[in-house]
This record gives sequence, structure tokens and C-alpha cells, in this order.
Amino acid sequence: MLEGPSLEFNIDMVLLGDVTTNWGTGPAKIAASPPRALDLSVRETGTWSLHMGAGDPVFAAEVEMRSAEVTAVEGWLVAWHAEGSTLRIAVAGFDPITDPTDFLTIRANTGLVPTFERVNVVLNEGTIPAEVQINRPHSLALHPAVPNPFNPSTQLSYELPEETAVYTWSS
Amino acid sequence: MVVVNALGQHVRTLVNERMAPGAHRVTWSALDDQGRDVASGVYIVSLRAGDKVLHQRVLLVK
Repeated sequence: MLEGPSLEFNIDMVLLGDVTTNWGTGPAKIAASPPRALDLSVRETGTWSLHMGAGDPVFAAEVEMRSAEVTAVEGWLVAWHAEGSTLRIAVAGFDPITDPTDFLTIRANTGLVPTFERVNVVLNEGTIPAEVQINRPHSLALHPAVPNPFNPSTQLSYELPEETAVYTWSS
Repeated sequence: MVVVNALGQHVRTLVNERMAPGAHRVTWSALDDQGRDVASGVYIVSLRAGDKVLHQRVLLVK
């Protein structure tokens, strides 16, 4: 699996844990070897970068978010599929990763809170630990309620640049 | 973080605690502090954090 000088296949869709349509008929095997820590961090512009060590040939990730566009460095294949708030990613390649810090870029195209969505990441079905770093908001923000008008309930999102007491008028 | 009605009267406390930095969400289900349904109309949600206050207007339509 995944040996040889080159790969030629078309990627239609990648589902985490099932890459048989891309890599042949064998069972899904998408664990990097050896597993190592990956770091998915968030930039202030809403651009996400996945940092990984050189030498990992394949990995897959599932990220909870709105929608996104995913690109990888040249020489690597990336497939992604956004469905609801889940973004599924699979990446494969043979070229050495010269700049791990910009290996994979996920541009979030989100609605209500584009920059600071919390994400849950599962990499290789959880076999590789992932650490998500969320940049702090620059300033206090209270976003418009959604839905509005509403019945029976509405949701408000707000952002705090630092740990803050959120309190009432009387307190 | 509270909900007040168009007369400025307190309706509901949504958040009253120390919160970690980052993004948070809170849901208001059109109930007052006593758990009673509130009437249709305009309400103001006020976020008070530190020395700053922000407002958003919401409209309940029954």
C-alpha cells in the first residue's frame, strides 16, 4: 500500500477510515507510521494550518466546522469533503515535507463566528493525538442572535479576548 | 449577560460567571428567570464583560 514512485487515481470523496475507493480494494489503512503528534492551529484570518512531521505518508482528519477549502503543498494529494459541520480530509504523498508548518491549509468559509470556531479533530480515527489551538479573539464581541426573529429559542454567540466575568446588571 | 424587555426591565439572566477566553454560545428559550414563557416582542440581550457592554436586539414572534 502506498509504495512506488507515483500514484495515479482520481479522488471523488474521502470518508474517514474508508479509502478503498482511492487506494484500491484493501481495507482502509490510513495510519501514519509511526504515529506522531499533529498540531492543527488556527490563524487569525480564519486560515488553518496543519503542522506535521516529515515522513508521514498519509493521514486523515475529521474536523468539526462549517465549510472549508483545503489545499496541500505541491506533490501531495489532498481530498476533502464538507458535510454539515464536519470536514473530512485525507492526504497522501511521497515527497518529503520541506516546510511542515505550511503543509496543509484549510480556509474556513464560515458564517456566524468565522475566526474562532471551536473544532474537534480526529486524526486517523483517533490513533494520532491532535492538539487544537484557538487564537484568542482580539476584542469583546456579541454577535446578532440566530435566528432572529425567533420562536421558540434563539442563540447568541460572543467572544471574549481574555478570561472575563460575564455578569448581570445588578451584580 | 441578561435579557431585558423593551421597557428595560430584567427578564432573564443568561450568563453570570467567569468565562474562559474564546467563543461562547448561549441559548435563550424565551423564558424569564422564573421559567415562564415571555410575551412576543422586542428584547435586548446585553453582554456585560469587564467594563464594556454590548447589546443585540431580538424579536420573539409567537
